[in-house]
Amino acid sequence: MKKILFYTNQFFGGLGSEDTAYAAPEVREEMVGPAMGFGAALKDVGEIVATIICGDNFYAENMDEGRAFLRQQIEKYQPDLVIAGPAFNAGRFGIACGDVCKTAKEMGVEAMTGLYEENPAVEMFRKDCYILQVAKSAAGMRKAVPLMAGFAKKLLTGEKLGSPKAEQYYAKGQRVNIFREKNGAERAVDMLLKKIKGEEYETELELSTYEKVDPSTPIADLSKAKIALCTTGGMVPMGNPDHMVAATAKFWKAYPIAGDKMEGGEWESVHAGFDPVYANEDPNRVTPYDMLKMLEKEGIIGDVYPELITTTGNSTSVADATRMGQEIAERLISAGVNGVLLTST
Amino acid sequence: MEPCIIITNNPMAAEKYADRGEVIYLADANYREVLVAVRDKVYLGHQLINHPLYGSLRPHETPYRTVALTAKAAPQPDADMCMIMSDAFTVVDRFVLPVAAVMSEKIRKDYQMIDCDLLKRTLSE
Amino acid sequence: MDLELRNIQIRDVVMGDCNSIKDGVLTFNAEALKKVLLEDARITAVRIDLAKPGDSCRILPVKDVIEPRAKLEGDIFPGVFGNEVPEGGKGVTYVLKGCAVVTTGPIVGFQEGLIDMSGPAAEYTSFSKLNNVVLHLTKREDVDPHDHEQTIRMAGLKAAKWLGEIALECADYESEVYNWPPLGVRANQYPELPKVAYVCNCMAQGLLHDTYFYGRDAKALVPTLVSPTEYFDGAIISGNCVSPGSKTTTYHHLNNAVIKALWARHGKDLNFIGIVLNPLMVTLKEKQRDIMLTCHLVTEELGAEAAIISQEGFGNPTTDLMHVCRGLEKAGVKTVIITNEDAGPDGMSESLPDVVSEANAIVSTGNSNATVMLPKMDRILGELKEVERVTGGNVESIQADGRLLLEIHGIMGGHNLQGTNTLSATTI
Repeated sequence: MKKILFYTNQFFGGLGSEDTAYAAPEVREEMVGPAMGFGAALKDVGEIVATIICGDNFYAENMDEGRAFLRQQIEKYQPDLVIAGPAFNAGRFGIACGDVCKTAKEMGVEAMTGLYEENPAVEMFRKDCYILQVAKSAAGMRKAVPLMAGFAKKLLTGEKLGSPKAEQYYAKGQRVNIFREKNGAERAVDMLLKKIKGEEYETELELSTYEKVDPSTPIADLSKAKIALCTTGGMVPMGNPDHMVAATAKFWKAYPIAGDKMEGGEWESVHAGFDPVYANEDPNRVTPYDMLKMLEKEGIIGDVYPELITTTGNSTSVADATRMGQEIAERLISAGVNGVLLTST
Repeated sequence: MEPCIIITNNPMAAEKYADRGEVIYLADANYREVLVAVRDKVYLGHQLINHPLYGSLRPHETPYRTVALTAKAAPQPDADMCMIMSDAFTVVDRFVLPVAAVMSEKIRKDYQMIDCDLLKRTLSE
Repeated sequence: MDLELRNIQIRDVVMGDCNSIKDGVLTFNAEALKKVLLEDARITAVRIDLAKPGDSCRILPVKDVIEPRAKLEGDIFPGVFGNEVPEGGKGVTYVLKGCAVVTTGPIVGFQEGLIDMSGPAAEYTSFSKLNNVVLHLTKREDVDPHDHEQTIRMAGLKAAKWLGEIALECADYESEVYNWPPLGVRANQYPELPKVAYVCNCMAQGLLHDTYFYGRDAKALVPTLVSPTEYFDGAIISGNCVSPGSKTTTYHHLNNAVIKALWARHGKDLNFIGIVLNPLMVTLKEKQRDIMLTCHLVTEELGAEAAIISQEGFGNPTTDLMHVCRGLEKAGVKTVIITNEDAGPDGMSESLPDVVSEANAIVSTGNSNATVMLPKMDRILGELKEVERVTGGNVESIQADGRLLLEIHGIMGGHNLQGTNTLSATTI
């Protein structure tokens, strides 16, 4: 019998909702909450030996402690598989599930979770572990359990996995070698005949290509130009008042900036794709407002537009980025901005 | 052939093609550093004559690169050539580059000879 | 033009006093073959070994692999031997299936290309399933690398012809007939079927990066129309062995997998209208010229509605591949390309260095950077230390216990870009 360790949060673990979000991790040698559904579905191949319950805020704000607790439990129970969540579209729970799986994988233990496609944790952790495609809210639990349990069964028994599409998990984006039935030339002819007939065919290698953007004409006289500062570095006022997301942003914000530079402690980067310590220490490292002001003083540029335009570029879709770009351009053009300094991370 | 600039870290190529144009011999540069020097010229409007990833030896094998560019610079850099350079770095950065100094003299000479040979036709037309 | 291939299945190869084929067993006099090869004054010694499927045997560095063939009348590998250049692709050609000539021996110090006759690497290349006659040649000391390459290339072809001629006495063959009428006839043969062209990219860049067409260096070639039967007669010869996994050996050209796959559907699902041999050059201008001419031949001369492009090499050829694909698609020619990938050892890097949005139908022959651990072999033909310089191998390739860690790129024909093998890659 294979051993499974289950991870869930305060809500699904029955501790209560927001008020227990800071609950420290605990482990129970029983099936708690969703673990029961999984336990029943997996009873032929494995046993859920324990359930870890941890408050979402606790995990998000004390990651090292959360991980250490998890490592102890993995040492103790020696599971063959860790199942976390599913976390649906819950941001903090999703990140906790992803991080739990990643930690388990680092210890050589197979791990999986289930998330809704827009959950930022999908982009953060899809490379690290299997993330099954589940619904937006907990109402989708009834469907999520058989899907995830079926996949878990394959992981536990070593059964061959189908494609990401067939198994309904988010592709890791990793290319692995396989032997196919027909040789490459025969497959090429098959593919070509389908393409000729206008039938659906599947390319064996999908390439990402991007639209070419023609650069606009240079600014004739910088010393009279109004320059705006724009970033995809997730730079927001400390405390993140508008809940700018850590990844897959769908909106942008404009925040007033004044003075000679952006002060450390007043701003923070919520971008999940890089270590923000240095950006938070001195926000000008991501958004060089200080330099722009200096150039303004020296008369090299006319003046600096008094708002920081910001969003998070981390895994943001090209479609969303294109739309946001158009919206931002409209605002800046109407404000008489002549040029934009766009910074990324 | 029209006047050209040859950027190379291959001593054999630097000597052999000395009469074909202005040779910029970067004795201590590695594969990538030669391409950086080439890219800078492309940005200044010089045009690539040969593809920077000519041949089939991969960047973690041969330490040598020789790239010919037009001596004359256009007023604007060629966007497609800028892309070729950018794509080349994407490829190069996937490999751990070899150090010529730790190779045996024979292997080094063989790499130099193959590098020269791949450019022979380019620099003789 | 019509060509009859007379295929003789060889299940075993042995050395003996005379030459014969009996019950699928090829017997040849090794001393006689040596004598023929030693006629070239640049060769001072020849060693001939046999490597058979299942043997605990590793061959490296491999220069070329050639299937023994002979013409009933005329020359196999036309334009290669002698001063005359006979037309290829017509008449009767004898083929010894199931065996090959393999040339080995380092021309340069970093040479590469491995064939294992058993174990995990044997799954990757069809050469492991052949009875191989392995030639190891020693050159005269003053022979320079260019001459050395030519010496080995010629010796391999000579041996393949010499062995092939043993078949001329053999009546136990299976016949395959290929009819290739002139273009005007072909175009009207199956008016209801889509006309499909094949673009065969081939390296034409320099020493160990070359291809020969009727004996002529492909660097001096522009894109050219070739018939399938000319391929079968060895009008296209490999001078390539750098980056072994992605190189087309002479064996591959003789048995071109795309031609075979198209022929299998010719007259049923498609009308195989022609082949363009496209040399992959070094300079951007030459690339541009060849890309233009290839597209011109496919669209304006052949009038094809669809095309398959097969690839060769690493790095710069992706530019040729992508831009021929773009040119064809823009002209309304539906195109599929066959290529390998360099997605890094972990499979997480971008697979190709250059992409166009028109390349939306790709057959992958695998990620060449993936590694495979190969067991120690009892017998080594060639020089094991050479693998330290193998593409995909490195100085740490040889493990303390004699095993070998190798990128599959180092396996001769491991992910052949004419689509010979079943290896591919997928995203997980």
